[in-house]
Amino acid sequence: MIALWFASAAPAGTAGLGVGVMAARGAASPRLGGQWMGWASVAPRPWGVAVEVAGWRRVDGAAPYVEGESVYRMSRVAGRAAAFGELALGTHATTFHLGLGPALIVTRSRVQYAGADVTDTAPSGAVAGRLALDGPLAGGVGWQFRVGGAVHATGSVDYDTALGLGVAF
Amino acid sequence: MRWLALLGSAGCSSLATLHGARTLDPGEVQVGVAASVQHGNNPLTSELAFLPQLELAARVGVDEDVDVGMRAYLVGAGGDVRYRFHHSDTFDLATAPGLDLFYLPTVGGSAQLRTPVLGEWIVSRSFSVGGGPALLLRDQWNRVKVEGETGTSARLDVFLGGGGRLQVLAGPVVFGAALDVYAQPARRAGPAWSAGVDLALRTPPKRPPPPPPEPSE
Repeated sequence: MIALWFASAAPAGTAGLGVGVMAARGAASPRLGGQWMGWASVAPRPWGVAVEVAGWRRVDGAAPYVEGESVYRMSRVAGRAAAFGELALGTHATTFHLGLGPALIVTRSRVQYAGADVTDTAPSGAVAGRLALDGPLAGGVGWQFRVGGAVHATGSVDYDTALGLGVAF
Repeated sequence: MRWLALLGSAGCSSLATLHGARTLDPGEVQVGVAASVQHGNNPLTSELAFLPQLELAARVGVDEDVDVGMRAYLVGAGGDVRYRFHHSDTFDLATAPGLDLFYLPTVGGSAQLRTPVLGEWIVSRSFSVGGGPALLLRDQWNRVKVEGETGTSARLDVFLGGGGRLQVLAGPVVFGAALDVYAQPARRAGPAWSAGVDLALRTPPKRPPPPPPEPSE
C-alpha cells in the first residue's frame, strides 16, 4: 500500500478536500479543533504554487480540570485562505512541498461568562507556511498530507495538520 | 499508582533523531537501540535537569527511496514513513512524517505528530552528517483528581526546532550520535533538548554501496 503511494508518474498537480485538526497558541486551553480544508496544487518541479481554504471550530473552557464545570465557555469559528510559493521535489510520483505565502484569516469568537454573551468577528492578515506530501493513487485519485502554521499580524499562531483525497491531474 | 503517573508523565515523548535522510534499500532491515538524556519534553522534565530515555527502533525498506520505521520508548511507541525526495552521490533530502502514541487508562495519553525534514551529507562510505528542522505537534491529556473530582486536563505541546546527527557505518553496524534542540512556542515553556547515541544492525545491502565522493584537489 505504501509503495503504491509512491508509484507511477508524477502528476502536474492535485486538488481535493480533507479533514484534520488545528490548535492555536494563546487560547485559554489550547485544545485541538476539527478542521476541513480544500486545496489545489500545481508543481512543475522543483517549484510549485498552491492555494488552500480551510475552516475550523474550537471550544475552550477555562476550567478543563473538572469536567462539566467550566467557569466560562469560549468558542471560535475561523476560516483561512492562503496561497503558497513552494519548493516541490520528488524522486517518485509523490511530491514534497515546502511552501510559504500570505493568508487571510477571519475569526468569529464567542465568549460566555457570568451571564454575558459576547461575539466578535475579526479579519487578520497572516504569513502561512506548510509542509505537504501529495501524489496520485489509482484511477486519477489524488491524496495529500499537510502540516503547517500561520503567524497572524497580531502575533498569535495557528498550527494544523490534515489529510485529504481528491484528484491528480 | 503514583509511580505509574510519574513514568507516564516523564516518558511520553522522545525528541531524539535516530536516522538521517538516506533510506534503506527495498527489503533491507535495520534494528537498533538508542539511549538519550532529554530535558523539557514534558512538564516533569522541565522541572528537572534531565531524564533518561531508552528506545527500540526498526526500519524496513519498502521501495526505492521509501522506508518505514517503528520505535518504542519509555513510555510510548510510534511509526513513520520516510520519503527521500532528493538524492545525489553526496547529499540526500528526506521527510519522515510519523505518529507517536501513548496511553495508560489511569494516567492519560498523548498523540504526537512528527514532521522532520532531513538532510544527510555522505562524507564517505562509512561516515555521514545529517539533521534538519522538525515540527512536533503533541496533544496530551492527563487524568487528574481535584477535590475528589476526576477529570481530564488537555494540553497542546508544540516543539519547533531540529537536530543534528553523526553516523558511522561499519559493515552491518550503524552507530549514531544526535543532538536535538527545540523551542516550545505553544506554551512559552523554554527550550527542550535531547542528546543521545544509538546502535543498530543492518542487513547486508542488496546492491553495492555508492562510490565515495572524489577527494577535492
